[in-house]
Amino acid sequence: MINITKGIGTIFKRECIRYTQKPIYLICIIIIPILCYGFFLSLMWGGVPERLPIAVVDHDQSKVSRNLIRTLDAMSSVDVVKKLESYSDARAAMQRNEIYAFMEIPEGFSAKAASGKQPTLTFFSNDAYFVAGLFSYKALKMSGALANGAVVKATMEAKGMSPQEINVSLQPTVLNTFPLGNPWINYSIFINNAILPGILELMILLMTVFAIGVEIKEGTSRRLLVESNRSMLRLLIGKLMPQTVLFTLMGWLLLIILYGYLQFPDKNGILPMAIAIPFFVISCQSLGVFMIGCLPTLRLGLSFASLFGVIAFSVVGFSLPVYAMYKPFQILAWLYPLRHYFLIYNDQALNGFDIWYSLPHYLALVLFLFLPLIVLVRLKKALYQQKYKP
Amino acid sequence: MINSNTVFGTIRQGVLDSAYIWKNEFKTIFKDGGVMIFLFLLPFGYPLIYGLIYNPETPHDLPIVIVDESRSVQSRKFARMLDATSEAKIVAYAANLDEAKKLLAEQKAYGIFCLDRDFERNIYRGEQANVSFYCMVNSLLYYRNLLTAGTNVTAAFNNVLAEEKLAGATLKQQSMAIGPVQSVSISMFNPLSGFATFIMPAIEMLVLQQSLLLAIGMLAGTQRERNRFHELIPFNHKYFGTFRVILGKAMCFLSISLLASLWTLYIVPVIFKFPRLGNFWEIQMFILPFLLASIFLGMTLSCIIRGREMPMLFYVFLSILLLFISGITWPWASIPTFWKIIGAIIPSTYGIQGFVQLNSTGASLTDVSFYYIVEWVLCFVYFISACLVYRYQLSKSIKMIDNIKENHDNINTYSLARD
Repeated sequence: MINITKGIGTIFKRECIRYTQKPIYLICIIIIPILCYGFFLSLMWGGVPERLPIAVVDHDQSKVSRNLIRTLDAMSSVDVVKKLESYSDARAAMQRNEIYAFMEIPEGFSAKAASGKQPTLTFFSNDAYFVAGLFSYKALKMSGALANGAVVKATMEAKGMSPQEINVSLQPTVLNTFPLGNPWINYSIFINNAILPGILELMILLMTVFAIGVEIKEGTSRRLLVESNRSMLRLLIGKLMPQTVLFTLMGWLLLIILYGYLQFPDKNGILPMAIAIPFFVISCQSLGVFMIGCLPTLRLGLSFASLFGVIAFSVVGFSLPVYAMYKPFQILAWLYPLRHYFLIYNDQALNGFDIWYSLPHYLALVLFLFLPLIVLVRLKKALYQQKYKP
Repeated sequence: MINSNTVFGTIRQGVLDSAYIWKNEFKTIFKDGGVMIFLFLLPFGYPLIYGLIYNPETPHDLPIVIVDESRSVQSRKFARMLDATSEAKIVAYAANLDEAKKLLAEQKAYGIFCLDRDFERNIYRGEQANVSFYCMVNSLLYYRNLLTAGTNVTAAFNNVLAEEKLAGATLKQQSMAIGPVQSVSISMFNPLSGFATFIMPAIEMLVLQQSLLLAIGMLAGTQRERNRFHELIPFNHKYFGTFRVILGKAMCFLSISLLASLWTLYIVPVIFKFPRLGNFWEIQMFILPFLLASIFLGMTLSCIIRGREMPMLFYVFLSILLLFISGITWPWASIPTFWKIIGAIIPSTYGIQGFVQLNSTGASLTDVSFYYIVEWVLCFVYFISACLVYRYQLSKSIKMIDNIKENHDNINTYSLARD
């Protein structure tokens, strides 16, 4: 027992010394994640886009239509930057990327509305820009509903109806919406709970492959094997432990920023997430060992990690849900620790479900530990031969 | 013999040397498996993979649970209308909200529509009837699609009620009840409001840039390792001229990436039938400075980020940042100025915006002239910076040769040590 820990200790110390000699380790383990935390969180600071530039095409030019435009302009998510003459002008402005949406008010709008001839407002949104299109569309739709209300109210009040009666005849049935966990539809919450752990996963994969591959490249791997008494277990634990510690700390730092400082929803408290982080880190490392074991050349191993790692951002399911993807991608998604972490986050932090529902995903993260076993012999051979094929 | 003393001779020699370097670079690339992966597998394979991932565009028939406390004709009608939408599909009827939430936790459904106990009674009593809609927001699309279904069904249901109630009423009375102002929403340039249509143009452009940055960086790393003294510029008199080296290499990468762009920007969208409104030649014109700027940026960075493997450690995570800084997802109008400035110096930022305008909205090159000019400015700036760093590298190589010439003995030691 003492021997085992001693072997690990030597390798661990050796690895720590390497970190102080080459800046690349600390840049990739600490600086890049922090840079990404700063970037993504400051990019979407408000969480909801504000003052998106939109336009109106007002063919009516009446008091009612001007009122409608003022209501629209007063909404925080949009900013009416242009009043244009025609549909084609507005479309051209959209093609120049000056506006994300516009509203067309038909001729005789106010007269028709007052006489019950049901004029039609048309909203155009540029859905080539997804979020901008969505939020500006919501604002336009809202202003349309308000316009409706205003006209009806005026008529009904003139008839002497009570406010309650007016509401009922406006909307006999109402839909009350409760987005669970993210009632503000804060985009930053959608994105950052998946992207930032995703960045961590990518860097863990790359750095695991790098730490092992560089030994083969520099011809020091045989010595490493000797120092660990030819035990792959000792070698891998000693070699990867410093990264496990550092990346876990980076993960916890992320949790503190997201759920402590920014107060993102975290219904079941910090504990389930804090426990998930080391599981997540170690499963990513196991996947990394598997990668360098499959392709025991530094650059091929790194290519594997890069090409496989970037797909994680698409199949984790925070953008297009995994549910909607084709079957092979639904299966592929399970091969990413990020997917399991993301599901734990959904159940524990966002929705606050019972811990029972997340146990399979904690377990799945543990199962990644078996991946290195598949390639252990191959990796050992490569470390021993330390052949570097350029 | 070419007289390299005249201006004409120098130019001619330069062109010949560039062509030699072009050919030589081609050879090096094809011998290097790692570079081949990023120069060919990435731009030819990844647009297909991403196309396949995002091709479903949007989730259909999202599973929902109904909690029908009213158990009446009207509430069943409302539920049936929900089930009939393309967005939602009823998978279960739960006895109460807790039971329904359990189904959410088990991932069997993503939304709950709860119809009040007094749903029908309120309708006939002339009071407001309530439907509560609870939605999981694990993905923005769950919320958006189910909300669309809910809103549309509520509006349609209200219309039906109004028509029933107002049989025999005047047109004006009917319109007042249904809503005096109608509205139509038109989703421009992305008819399904789908995911692939919006994200693919950005991914395609980004893949082109990242493939160039990675390949150029890795190739420079390889050359550093292969050349005798670990310098970027090989000991070959044809390489001794900054412009020649830069132009020769740029031509080599440009020819490959133009081919890749044909595949990525034309053939892949045709395969998946993604909407394309752009004019082929205008897009070609726009792509040219974008690719050149990426190439020169890659060359400049290859002198800062050294080592064959470093590009992978630095450029891969950057792809994700660059996608977001381009303003394609999080709107450009809402990006802080600081990040806008950083974004502006990277070819992909305005490259993506310009390409989306050209390709998705059918804008003309004059509509995107601002982006086009920026791309040329970037191309020029990075050309200069590439020249400066290569000039520096070249002088290092030449200095080393001079040293060797002075010290003839050393050269033997060097080559001995190497062999």
